[in-house]
Amino acid sequence: MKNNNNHQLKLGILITAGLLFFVVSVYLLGKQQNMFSSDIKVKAHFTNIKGLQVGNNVRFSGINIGTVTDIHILNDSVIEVEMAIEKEVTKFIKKDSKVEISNDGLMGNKLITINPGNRSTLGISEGDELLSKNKITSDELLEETKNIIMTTKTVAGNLKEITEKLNNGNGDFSKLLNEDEITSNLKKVSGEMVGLSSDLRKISYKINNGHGDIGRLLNEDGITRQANEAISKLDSIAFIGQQTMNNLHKTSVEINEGNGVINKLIYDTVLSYKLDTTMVKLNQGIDEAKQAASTIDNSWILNVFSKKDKKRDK
Amino acid sequence: MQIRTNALVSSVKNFLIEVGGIIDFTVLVFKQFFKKPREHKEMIKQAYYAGNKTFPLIAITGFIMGLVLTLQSRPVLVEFGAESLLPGMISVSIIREIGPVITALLCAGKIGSGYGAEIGSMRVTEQIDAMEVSGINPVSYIVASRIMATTIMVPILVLLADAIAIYGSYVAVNMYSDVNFQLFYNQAYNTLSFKDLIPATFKTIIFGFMIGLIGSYKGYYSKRGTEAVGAAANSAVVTSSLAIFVIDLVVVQVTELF
Repeated sequence: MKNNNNHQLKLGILITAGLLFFVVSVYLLGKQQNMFSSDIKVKAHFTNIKGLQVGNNVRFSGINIGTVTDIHILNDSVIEVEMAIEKEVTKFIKKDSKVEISNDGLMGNKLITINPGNRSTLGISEGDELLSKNKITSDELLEETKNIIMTTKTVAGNLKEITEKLNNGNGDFSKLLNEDEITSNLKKVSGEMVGLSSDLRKISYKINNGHGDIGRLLNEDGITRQANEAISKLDSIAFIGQQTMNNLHKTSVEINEGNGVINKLIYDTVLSYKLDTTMVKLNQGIDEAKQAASTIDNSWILNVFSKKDKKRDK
Repeated sequence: MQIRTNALVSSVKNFLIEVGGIIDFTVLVFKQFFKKPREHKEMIKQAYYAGNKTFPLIAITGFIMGLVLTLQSRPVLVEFGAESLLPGMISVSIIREIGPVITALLCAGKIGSGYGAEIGSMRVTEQIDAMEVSGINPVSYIVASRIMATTIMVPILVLLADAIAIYGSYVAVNMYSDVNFQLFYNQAYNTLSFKDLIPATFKTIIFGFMIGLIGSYKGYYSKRGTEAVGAAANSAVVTSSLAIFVIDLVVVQVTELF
């Protein structure tokens, strides 16, 4: 009887261990599929679900927060995917969050990734519809890769053509690469440049040491001082000149607009006429004076006293 | 040619008789499950022998199974840079297929052959006839209790073998890299789903039933003579093993439908 009990105990332990493993496995798998946590149902519409299946994970910021519970076709271009999301994380998933279908690694299962929405919007609630975002598929990726390869091929062809031309052609670049003439010319030029730089060094040495006019100009203060003095004198002259100009301007204004003699001489035609008349009269007066003088000179009275002189002159 | 044809016809006929006999026997056993008297004590005793006595063999095999499978799979996954997929891959392989089938084959070898030999020797030594004469139902006492015991114990042994094999895989992974136990089990269970666990467990119930049924049938209907005991044991193992693979094939096809 004791032996029988012992057998039963061992059997009980074995069965309990086996059932425990089964229960733990069921619990872990159930937990993974959110069977033991309260959740809410939300949906999203896609044009292509890319092999997504019921039971695939829903991930938010890298954390599994739910599973796909149902997939059905609404019409010829819209597929509705229903997801169960853990209730406790719904406050973090905003109503404007976007969902996309991704891959768990390169070879992993498909999954739905929820991208965070705007912080100011409210968290999702039962029956909400999340916006979907179409991600590039592997086929599209391959197509893009194919295009890149084709472009690269074309570029490589062009490069090959260019290198062939560079190797065998007669263009400037080809000559630059293949002929020595340019190099020797460059060498010559560089030799000349060396000489030139030596001359320049000598010149700069002289300038630095104050030789010559430029050197003195750069190194001595006296010239600057003299130049400053000359400039200040020029300033004074310019000032005087300015004053003179002002005076002249004033005088010319006075001449043009004033009542002086010169203004009248220039602009008064009556005065001019009078002056002409005066001049004529003066000429006449002078002629008459000359005639009078001649008359006096020839008069006998005066010649009486001047005979001796006439003889002396002869 | 005629001889060959006759031999073939005879083989097919024998096979069909065998199948018919097993179906008859199954119906008989099923009826017995719902009839009184139920031999609980005998069933517990048989469960102890089938379970506890087989457990060390299952444990060692399961551990080696997980260890070797991991060591063999690792280089290929490392080549692809997918070493992190190793726990998931091993757990799916073990839970879905390798664990149930290998454990069932071991049980067929140990328990099935034991039943064939034990019940066969009862038949040879006319103990079964004596039971019938003394009013004890041999199908209830000998057969139904044993089949019930294997039907219960084989799934339990498979589950334990799965757990030990996954632990063996963990040991193998840690031979090459330092992986945390929790991380390993997380990776293993993240890949698994109910689709892996439930059909596999259901399959093991059928395996257990068939191992008990075929072992008991072969022993119960063994011929007279000591040679027949060995033949019954041998035939029980061969037929059970074949039945395990056929059932596996059918169950996989059926579960794929869902």
